[in-house]
Amino acid sequence: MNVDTVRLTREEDPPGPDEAEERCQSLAERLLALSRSDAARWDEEVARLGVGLGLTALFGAALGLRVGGAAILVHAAGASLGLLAVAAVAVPAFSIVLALANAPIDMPTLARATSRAVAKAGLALGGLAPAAAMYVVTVEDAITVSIVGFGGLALAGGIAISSFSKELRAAHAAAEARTQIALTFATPAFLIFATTLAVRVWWLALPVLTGAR
Amino acid sequence: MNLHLVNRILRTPADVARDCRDDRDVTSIARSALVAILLGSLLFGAAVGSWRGGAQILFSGGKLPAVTIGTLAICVPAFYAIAAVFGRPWSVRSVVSLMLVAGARFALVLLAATPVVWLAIDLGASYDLAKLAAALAYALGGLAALTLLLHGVGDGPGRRTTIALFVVVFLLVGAQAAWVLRPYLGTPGADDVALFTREREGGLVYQLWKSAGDAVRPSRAETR
Repeated sequence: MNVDTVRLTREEDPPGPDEAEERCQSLAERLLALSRSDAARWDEEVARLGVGLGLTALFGAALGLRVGGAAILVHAAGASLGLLAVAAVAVPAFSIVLALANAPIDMPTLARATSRAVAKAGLALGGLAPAAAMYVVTVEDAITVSIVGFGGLALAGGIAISSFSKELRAAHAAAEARTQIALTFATPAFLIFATTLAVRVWWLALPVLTGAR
Repeated sequence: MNLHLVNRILRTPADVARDCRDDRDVTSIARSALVAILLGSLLFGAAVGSWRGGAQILFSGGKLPAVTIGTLAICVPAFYAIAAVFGRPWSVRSVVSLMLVAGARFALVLLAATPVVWLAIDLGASYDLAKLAAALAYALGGLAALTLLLHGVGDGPGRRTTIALFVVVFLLVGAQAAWVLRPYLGTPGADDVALFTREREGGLVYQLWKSAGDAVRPSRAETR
């Protein structure tokens, strides 16, 4: 009877395709996946951005371990601040340029490209955090800490740039010829500006990388 | 340790890598791989430590498994993240088992090299020759593990970048972990046997930087 009950219960509640898919997805897959619908959903994008920044903070905290104490929190915040500055300052500015050029890229699409880029960069930095922690704690010289720290941030920045460009490429292709010419200049200019901004923020907010110790 | 699985790791790495990726029987795979890593690196470490002899055999035999397992543990999150970012969002279980199997292949090559290294040392190999033999065994082990990882990563976009980034991270972490726990052979000219060196020599990257600088400007090295 028990067996029958169990069988009945299993037959009554077969997992739906969505549910089964949900179970099979890894954490990273859920983080990097697009919205179920074609249109971006603000809550999903904000959550993705938050997780990306949180993972980035892990890398910063790893760098802060060299000094310890409050520096762990300062560096955790500092690492996230670089990406947050790009998302909060550079991307809105870029959206105005896109609107001026009449590019067929709306705010939700831009938000999705940004959140996915930050999530990818954050995932890479979060994954590298244990290795960075081992380096900053075990090496005596400051140059190695700078190389490891900026190396990790440069890698993450490259990943974010690549992701962002790829997301917008399809929209670029759909634009008129005049708009495409404008975007050919505007997009690289934005990427250079975003990179410079992030590096400047990291330079100021991550003192352990500038060789102070 | 499941000898059938060990045989599969050596002969058909692509099949084992596929099992790891597809999350098939990974618990058993991971358990056997872990035993292989411990056994292979322990015996190889002991053989390397026999150059100095005495307590160094025990120290090196204990430190090498710690370096290998520690490196794998630190690299797991990096591999998980790198694979996911470049289009391979696997489960943590798959990544851990894949890493352990690669580590097992590496350790099994070390196990094969153990008698050779031990015999060379027993026949009176110099410090440099013993160091070279150990480095060669490590390089061969690394290549064997890399072959398995190449199968594990599979085809598709981002394959080369994933592998290249992972190799860089693994080499940097492994080298620093080994550097922190040195010495393994023992210090030439020193009579006492030390578990860890007390000399402050910076880190591995710093030493490489310094050596490169000395090579470019030999006069700077002479004045030191």
